[in-house]
Amino acid sequence: MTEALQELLTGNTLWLMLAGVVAGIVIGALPGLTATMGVALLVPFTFWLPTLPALMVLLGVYVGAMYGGAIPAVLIRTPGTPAAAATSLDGYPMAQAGRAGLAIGISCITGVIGGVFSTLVLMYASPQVARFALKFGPAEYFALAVFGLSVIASLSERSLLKGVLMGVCGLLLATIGMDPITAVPRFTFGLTPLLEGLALVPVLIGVFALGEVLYQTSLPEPDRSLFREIGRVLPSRTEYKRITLPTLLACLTGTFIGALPGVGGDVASFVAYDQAKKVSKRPEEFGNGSVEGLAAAECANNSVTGGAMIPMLTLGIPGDAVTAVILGSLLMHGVRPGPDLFEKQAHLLSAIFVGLLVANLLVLPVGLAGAKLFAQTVRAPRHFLFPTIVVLCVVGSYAINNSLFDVGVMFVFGLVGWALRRWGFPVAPLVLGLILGRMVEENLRRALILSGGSWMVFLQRPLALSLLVLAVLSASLTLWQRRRTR
Amino acid sequence: MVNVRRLCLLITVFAGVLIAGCQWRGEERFPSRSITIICPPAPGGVSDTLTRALAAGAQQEFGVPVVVENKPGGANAVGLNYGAHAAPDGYTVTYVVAELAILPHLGLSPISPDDFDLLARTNYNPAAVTVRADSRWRTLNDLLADARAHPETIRAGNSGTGSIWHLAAVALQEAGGAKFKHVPFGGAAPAVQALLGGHVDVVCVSPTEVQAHVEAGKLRMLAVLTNQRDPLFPDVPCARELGYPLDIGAWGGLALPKGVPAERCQRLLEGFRKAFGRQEFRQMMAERGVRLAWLEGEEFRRFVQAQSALNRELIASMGVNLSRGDVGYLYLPRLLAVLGVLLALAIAVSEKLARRPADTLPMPGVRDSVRMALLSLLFVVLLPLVGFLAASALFLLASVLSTKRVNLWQAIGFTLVVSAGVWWLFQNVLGVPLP
Repeated sequence: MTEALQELLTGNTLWLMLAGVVAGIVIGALPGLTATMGVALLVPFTFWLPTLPALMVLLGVYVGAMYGGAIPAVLIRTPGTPAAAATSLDGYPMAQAGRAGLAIGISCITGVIGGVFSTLVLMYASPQVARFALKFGPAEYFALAVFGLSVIASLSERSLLKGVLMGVCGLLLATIGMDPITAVPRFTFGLTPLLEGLALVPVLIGVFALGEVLYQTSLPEPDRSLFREIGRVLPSRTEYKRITLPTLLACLTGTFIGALPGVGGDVASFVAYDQAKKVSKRPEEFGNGSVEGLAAAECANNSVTGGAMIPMLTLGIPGDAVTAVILGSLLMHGVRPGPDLFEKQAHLLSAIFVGLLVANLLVLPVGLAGAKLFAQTVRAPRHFLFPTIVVLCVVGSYAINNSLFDVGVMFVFGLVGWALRRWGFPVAPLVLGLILGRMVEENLRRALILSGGSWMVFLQRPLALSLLVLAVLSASLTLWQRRRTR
Repeated sequence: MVNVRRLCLLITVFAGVLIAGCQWRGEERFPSRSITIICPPAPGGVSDTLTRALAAGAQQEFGVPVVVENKPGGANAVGLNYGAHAAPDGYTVTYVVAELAILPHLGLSPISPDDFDLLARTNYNPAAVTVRADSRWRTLNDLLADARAHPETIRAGNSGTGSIWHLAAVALQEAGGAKFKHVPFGGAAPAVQALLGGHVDVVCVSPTEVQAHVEAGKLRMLAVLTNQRDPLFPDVPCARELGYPLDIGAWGGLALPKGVPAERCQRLLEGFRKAFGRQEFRQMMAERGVRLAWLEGEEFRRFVQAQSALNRELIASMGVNLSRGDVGYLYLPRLLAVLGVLLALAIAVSEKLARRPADTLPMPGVRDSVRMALLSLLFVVLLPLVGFLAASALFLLASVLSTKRVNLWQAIGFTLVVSAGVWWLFQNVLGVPLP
């Protein structure tokens, strides 16, 4: 371990890594450019680097981009990456209330805590976590998705019915495209780009960013004196106290959800957000600029990084799309992740561990130093800011798949987001439904195929059953909390 | 004020030069500008790695940039469709994959091998029948005998209905007179994961996907479904020596849209052949366990046609053994639609009963919003017609001026900075081509 650290600190490796982190933050902050894309864009540049520095750059980009996504989510309600959707729920109201600096500061600090925590888990408990993750079969994944859906209850703002309706709409939107089991096209209207279903990022950019721009333009110019405030970056002592518990919970949730292949930061941040609301003394602040909600979402989102590396390094199975790309570049450098990596290439493994730790720690100074700078965005006069956001919306939705169709999707969902905002329908449950829809359907049907059509399978498997019970408990707890605060 | 005006003028001139520079194209010899390889699968997989490594070599052969553009979606239908309809000028090459010979038979995409001029095959990865190391099957015959005795009990994981690995499992059961219970997953990796976790019993995927686990003693490869043993796994028997005349696997190759001039085809073929022969490329592929298998022109075409015919038969026989226990593809949408309607009714009734005003937000300046929406629509519509630079410039100029808060020069300066800046950032720094 010390050897790897020495190697990292000598020569140019640390600088390369810093460059990777900065590049990652920029890429993550640009809507439509996700961590996956950032890493994929940089893989060719690392062909010519020796294995270790190449890996360090990629890890830097990965970690940087996971944090970078929070910046536009906070400042202009545009989640830079899908995982930052939950961040915008409380980050954006904070920025609007003149606390943009603090919102960025908190997301940076909690993000780094999450990243470091998950790296420690990766270092010391990988084999155990991976073995547990393998126990998740279709029935368990279905139960987990249902548990995720139970979060809808706490994402519903004033009317629970409206929230649930939006969740159902999200699930319905997710059924567009080839069905996951028999590959029959549904609701595609003969359009080839719809075969794979609606792409998540254009929808997100539409409902959040474009919808918000359209809504805000119809408002009279707000009292700029408040909005122009950036405020301090570092949290106060009481704020630290408030975010401690939600951050700890989010670390655990994020790391574990990240370790499950196929479930990523988008799900983790919503689940952690819900948990934070449940343990909070002031649940009514959620959605209106709660530091706890912001901390939980952003911490979970970054804890996914270490978690997702667990199945990749131990089993050679990527935990999400980004780690799939990193896996590809590892292989290209002659590193073969999988069961024997821990025995035969321990040197490289410890380099990866140290690299992840250092990359996470590098985010802290870069993120905090840049916070004031990024936050200047909120000072821009809105007749310049809004058109620029629209341009970024268009470019971002195009860049994700190089598809003009996605630009159209983004525009349509921009109108939808505007209308929903107008008539008081919450947007977040719609997004959560869309994120979880495929997971719900494909695992439900896969589990039923495996059981030969018997629904008892969800009750007979202890893990699946406990997750379903948890889902019911979680939803009831939220309902009880809503009643009490009313 | 004079300074602002000067600055604006300066920026105008600068940006004008930049734009002109981007648009200028010499057209004397082929290739004289960058070549794009359309790679239908998403970044990170074998196909993506192969095309990027090949592009790196081809760039030096052609002396122009060779860029890879991923077009993921619709079981690769999106990318194949895009590649087949690209301009037939030789500057767009498509990396065609096994799905090209599958999709038409599934009725999912009108694109077939006939829509391409096939240049050359690059790789061929046979299906490897793999089980857990602690399973009771030690040979392929054990497995098939068991599957014959207990039809539809052995759970075979595949990478999606109609995927090449699903077809491989179907081909195996047909050859062995057996029946598996087929369980589709969202790709080969999740299927292998389910195999490791004991949720399925067998997978037929490419050897690269299971290699590490086989070496670690977790999984056992029973056979590769080809005519000869795989040189990378000499100890694993092939299907033919076990008495099953099977040859099925995933392949990839380069193709052009119909109508590219013959001399350009020839030039591309030569260049890619040389890039394919490069030592770095071969070594990189060997490290990833990709079996390179070059096959040119007419031979490649015959291979694809044979694959297509084989797949058609397999898909026809597949229809009868679609999975029992599945609730069907309309179950969930129907359930959700009913639920949605009920909820909408409940909301309407409860708002009526409560007689409280619907919690709509006030929107005094709806007119401004509508204008913004219309301008955005114009932007989206113009984007494919006139390109990003012109469309975004028009949009920015119109939307900034319409607020009547800035003068013309400020608006022009702002427009140029944002349009050109975004263009430069995406196109040149990030390497994401914009229309």
